[in-house]
Amino acid sequence: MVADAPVPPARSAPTDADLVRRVTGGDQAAFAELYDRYCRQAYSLARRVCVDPEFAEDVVQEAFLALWRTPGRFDPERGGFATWLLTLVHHRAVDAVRREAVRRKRTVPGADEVAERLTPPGPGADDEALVGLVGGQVREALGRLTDEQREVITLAYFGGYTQCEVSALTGLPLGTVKSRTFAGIRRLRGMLSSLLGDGDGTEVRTGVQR
Amino acid sequence: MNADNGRCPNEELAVGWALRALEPDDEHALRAHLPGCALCQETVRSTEQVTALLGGSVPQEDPPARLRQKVLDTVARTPQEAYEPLPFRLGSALSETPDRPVEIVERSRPRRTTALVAAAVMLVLAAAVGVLGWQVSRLDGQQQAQSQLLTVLGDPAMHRTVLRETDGQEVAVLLSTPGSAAVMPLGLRPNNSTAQTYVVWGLSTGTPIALSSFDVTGATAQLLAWNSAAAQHQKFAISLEPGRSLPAKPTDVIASGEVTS
Repeated sequence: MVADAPVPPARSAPTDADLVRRVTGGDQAAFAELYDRYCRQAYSLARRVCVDPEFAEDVVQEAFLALWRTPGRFDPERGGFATWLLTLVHHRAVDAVRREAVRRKRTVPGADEVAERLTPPGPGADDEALVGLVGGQVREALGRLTDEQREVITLAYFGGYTQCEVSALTGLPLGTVKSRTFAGIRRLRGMLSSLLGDGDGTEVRTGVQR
Repeated sequence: MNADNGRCPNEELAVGWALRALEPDDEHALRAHLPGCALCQETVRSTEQVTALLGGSVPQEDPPARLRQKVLDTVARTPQEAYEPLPFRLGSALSETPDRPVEIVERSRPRRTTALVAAAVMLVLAAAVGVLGWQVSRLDGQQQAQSQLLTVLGDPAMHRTVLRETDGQEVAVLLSTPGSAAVMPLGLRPNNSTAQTYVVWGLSTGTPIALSSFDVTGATAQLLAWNSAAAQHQKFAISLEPGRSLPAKPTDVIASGEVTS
C-alpha cells in the first residue's frame, strides 16, 4: 500500500443492506458501523416518545440487540433500513411507555414534556406537540394536514396512545379516530412521496444527513 | 377479505397496526388477517415509511457516549439466532416476535358500536354527579368529562387493568388512579340504561365488593365514581346487573383481570 493511499471514494462505502448482510454473518464491525450511522436517529425518536433518557437508552439498546440477534428480519426488498430500524425503535418505545408508564412519568425531572404529551387536544395543542420537529418538508406536510388529522396522528405516534386512548383524549368516537388517522397518513404519504422509496426497496431518506 | 377495488375493509386497522396504536382485540384481528391480505401488508409497509419520516424528523440528539460501548459489549456476548423468514411478508414489528404464533383463524368478536353522542356522555356524567356530588355544569358536560378522563390518563399513578372473558377475550380496560377511574369498553354490548347497569367489582378482599357502575353507550370511555378504597384492589371484575343500584353480590360476571401496570 502506498503511503498516501487516498481515502476510499464514497462509492465504496458499504450500503446499509451490505452491512446488514455482514451482520448476518456475525460481523461485529459491520454492526458497529450501523450503530454509528443510526444511533442518533434511533435515540432521538426514543427520547421523543419515552421522554425519559434512561428508557430511551434501553429502547435503543433493545432495538440494536434485536438487529444483532436476527438481522434477517430486515428485508431490503420491503423498504430501507432506516424505515425498518425506526419502526422497530418506535414500537419498542411505545411498548416501554405503556409498560413503564408509572415509573416513567415519576422520573421525568420536569413535568413540562409530560404535560405537553397530555395537553388536552384543542386549538393549537397539536401544533405545540410539533414545535420540536425539524425537517422542513415533513413538518410542512404535517402542517398541511387538517388539525384533526394531525391531532390523532401525533397523539398516537409521538404520544404512544392507543386509538382507544386517543378517542378518550379527544372525545371523538373511535371510528372517527381510525378514519382520520387513515386519511391523515394517506395525505402525508402523498405529500411526502418525493422522500419515499416507491416500493422498490429504495432507501427512505429520514431527513438526517449521513 | 379483499374488495375488488384495490382496497380492504381492514385498511384502517392496518394503519393503526403500523402506528402500534391498536387495542388488543383489533391487534388480534389484524394479526389473523394480515398473512392473507397483500393489500393490508402493503398498507402497513407504506405507513411505516411515512411514520419513519416522522420519527426521523424529531430534534436530533446524540445518545450518551457510554451507550455505544454498552451495546457493543452486549452484542459481543449475545449469540445470534437462526431466523427463517415467514412465507409471507408482515410488518417488521410483527415479525419481530416469532414466539407469538401467528393466528390464521379469525376470532369472532363482538360488534363494536363506535358512535359517540354528546348527550350520552352528559347522561353518564349526570349519573356520576349524582353519586359524587360533583359540581358540574351540564352546559360543558362533555368538556368536563374529557377533562376528567385526561386527569385519569395523565395521572402518574394510573393503573391499567385488562378485563377478559374466561376465554381470554378482552372486553374492557379499567384505568384507575387513587381518586378517579374510567373504563374503556372494547367489546361490551350497550346496556339498557333504564333497567340495567354494568358494575365494577373489587376482588382483592375475598368477597366481591361493588365499587362503581357504568353504562355502555358506545366504545367511548366512561368515567366511574371512584375513591381511594376502590383503588386498593388489585383484581377487578365487571358484571351486568338488573336494576340501577349496586347489588350485594354479582349475578353474572362478564370479565375480570388483575392490575397489570
